[in-house]
Amino acid sequence: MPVERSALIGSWIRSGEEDGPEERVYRRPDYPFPPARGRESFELAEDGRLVERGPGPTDVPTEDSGEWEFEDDSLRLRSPAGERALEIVSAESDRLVVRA
Amino acid sequence: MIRHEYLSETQASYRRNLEGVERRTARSIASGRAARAVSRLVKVSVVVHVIFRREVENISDAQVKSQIDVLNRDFRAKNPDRSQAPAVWKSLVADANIEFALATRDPNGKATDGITRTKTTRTSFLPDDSMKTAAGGHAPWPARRYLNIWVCNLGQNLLGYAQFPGGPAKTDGVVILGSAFGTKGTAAAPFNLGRTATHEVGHWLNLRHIWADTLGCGGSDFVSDTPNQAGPNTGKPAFPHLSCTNGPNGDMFMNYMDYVDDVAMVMFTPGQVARMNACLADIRGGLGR
Ligand SMILES: [Zn+2]
Repeated sequence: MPVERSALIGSWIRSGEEDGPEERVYRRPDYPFPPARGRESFELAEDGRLVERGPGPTDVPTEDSGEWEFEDDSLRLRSPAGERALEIVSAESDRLVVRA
Repeated sequence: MIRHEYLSETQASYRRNLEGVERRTARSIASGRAARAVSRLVKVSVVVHVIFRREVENISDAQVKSQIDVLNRDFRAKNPDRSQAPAVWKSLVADANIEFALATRDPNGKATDGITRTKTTRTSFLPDDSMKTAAGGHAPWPARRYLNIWVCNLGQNLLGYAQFPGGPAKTDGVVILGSAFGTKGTAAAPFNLGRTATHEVGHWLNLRHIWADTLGCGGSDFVSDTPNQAGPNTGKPAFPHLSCTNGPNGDMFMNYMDYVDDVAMVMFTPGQVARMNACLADIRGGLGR
């Protein structure tokens, strides 16, 4: 089933504990995440703006703003932290899976 | 925003300080001063500030002591699990020659057990140093003489955070989530072997993450004997785990400065030990004297 752009809107936080060998899993902020040394996350706004967060050099979360695009099942994230493309495997309302 | 970038913007001297720290670290390693420091045992005085709202957060003396024991094993390469290091890196398991002891004298010279206990009304703390003030937490003991460790209910499911050398004295030290502190009491798997504090004290002694805090392979942790690595590893990886064309041995994910579970991290390298001792010989030279 093709992934709709609208299904991606909002915040996604890496739930690495659920990763498979070929998959990376993201969850919504209300998911009961266990403690971690740091978590990567991104927030996709309807208008294409992006906020990326990740562990900083002393483990305090860092934040960068940028833009996102979605085309051919590929989610492109661009911010001062770098540019990357995530291949979306599935996008449910509470669970996003990308190719590792 | 990166915490140390935040500091560099709010505090004019901070970036200059960090650059100065790197210059002094390089000089100290090149001149052999760091090596002389490592040949001498350094004993760091520790104060643990327990900040609690609920009684269960007021962790026991035994739990605090169990954490000090872990630091003393890990920074002397006496941790029995160092045998997990793969054969190719066994010779890189390094003794930092640093020991830790709860302070026996407070800043006024009075006898102490090295533990302060503060009741707070805060249900949790953000990683914004708010536990380091008398309003809701406890102010540090002088950072030149003590390693300050705050143990509290850190929010955002974060296990801990640190401050590099060269930052403001009034926030210097490390912060650890109570359930990730020590090996007893409220310490909970998979972070119940005291390795969060080992990792954070590594930062406090100027160590960077082993993947160098960049997306991809372009960064450096300023240590030559740790392989280039793309990003953090988590959980309990299987050896070898390859990234950044670092085969055949791959990532040194069993290093304390990766993000794996407590049971999976077992070593510092000689390059990391040199950086820590450069720090103790110089910018944190007041400790252990
Ligand atoms: Zn860290």
